[in-house]
Amino acid sequence: MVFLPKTWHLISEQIIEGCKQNDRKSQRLLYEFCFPIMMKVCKRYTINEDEAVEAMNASFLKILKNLSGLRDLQTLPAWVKQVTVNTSIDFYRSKKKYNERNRFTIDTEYSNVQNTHFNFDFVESKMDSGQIFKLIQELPETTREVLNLFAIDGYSHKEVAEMLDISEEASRWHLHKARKLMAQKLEENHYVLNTSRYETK
Amino acid sequence: MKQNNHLFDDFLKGQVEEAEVTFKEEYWQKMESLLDQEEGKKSSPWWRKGLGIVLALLAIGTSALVYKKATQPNSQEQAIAVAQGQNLDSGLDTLQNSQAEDIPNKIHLSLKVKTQQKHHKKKLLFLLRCLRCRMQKMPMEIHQHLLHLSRLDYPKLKSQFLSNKSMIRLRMLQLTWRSRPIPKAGFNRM
Repeated sequence: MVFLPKTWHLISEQIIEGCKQNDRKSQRLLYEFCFPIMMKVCKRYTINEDEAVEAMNASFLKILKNLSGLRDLQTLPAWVKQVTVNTSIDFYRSKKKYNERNRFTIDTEYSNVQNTHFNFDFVESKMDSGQIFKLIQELPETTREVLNLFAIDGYSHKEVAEMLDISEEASRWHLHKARKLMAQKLEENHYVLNTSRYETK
Repeated sequence: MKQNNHLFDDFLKGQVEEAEVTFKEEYWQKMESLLDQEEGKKSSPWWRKGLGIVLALLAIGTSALVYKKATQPNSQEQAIAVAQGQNLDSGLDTLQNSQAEDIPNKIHLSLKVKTQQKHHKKKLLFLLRCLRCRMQKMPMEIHQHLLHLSRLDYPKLKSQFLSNKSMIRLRMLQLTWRSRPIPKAGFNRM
């Protein structure tokens, strides 16, 4: 499910055709329409606005290059999001290199977290604009990517492991860590109440 | 218990989807510069990048060919030289002068062009002086050829050319001009 911008219905075949013919005005229109989808993804996967814009522009370039392959206009939002996620992961891969020591530490810690769950009491209030992105950006790099891919974008641990070149156990460990850290941050900012952790064996 | 985690994930997802992002003009400016760069790349395809190199190679090749052609005798002249070179083998036996023995067999003289210059005329004079010693009569065709080659010096040459020996002998003697030093005055009193 892709959250569509309010102006999405204004996207027409004419704009798409203009983009295919390198018409700058059409490209600008498409950019503005795709901006909310792309920016929300990129802000989650990067650590600051500069990186987010860089990843977003790289994504839009890919979109323009592959626009000729688009058959149905209805699939455009989902496709835009997919391309942006993939580009953001590529962006992450180019920056981050894993070492075996880090992986070993994760694997040994995994056994302690696999049956751990959190209990939350949510406060029904909307966060300030951009606040959620700030909290996500503060997470450690791989942990942030796993949280985004699994919890928000709906990928399985197997897919996450393949995308980030880590083991499935490591993916679960990072997800647990991400939830824990996010819960702490949300509690500190009064977005959730009574965060409690209990383990089942 | 997993429900709690799912609830937490849904909470995060909802917050992300509802969050608002503000469009800034600078984002598009960066994108536009990126698009300009891409268009610049597109406008110079791979063959155009290599065009300069190809042209440079072509220019070098052409100049090398021109230089080679200028410094070497043409194919027609070469064919004549070879043909005459074959006759030279038989002609050598009949040559009685001792100077003819050290003449290289395959040197070709392009007198037609080079006699227009002074130093070549000197060489030609030396050649003709040598010829005077061993040629009694000169065939008309050689006579005309030499006239064509050195118009200015013709009266002088005419007095020195009295031989009518074969073309072979002339060509053989022509061969010496490259390898031999220019004779000083008095050397040619043979």
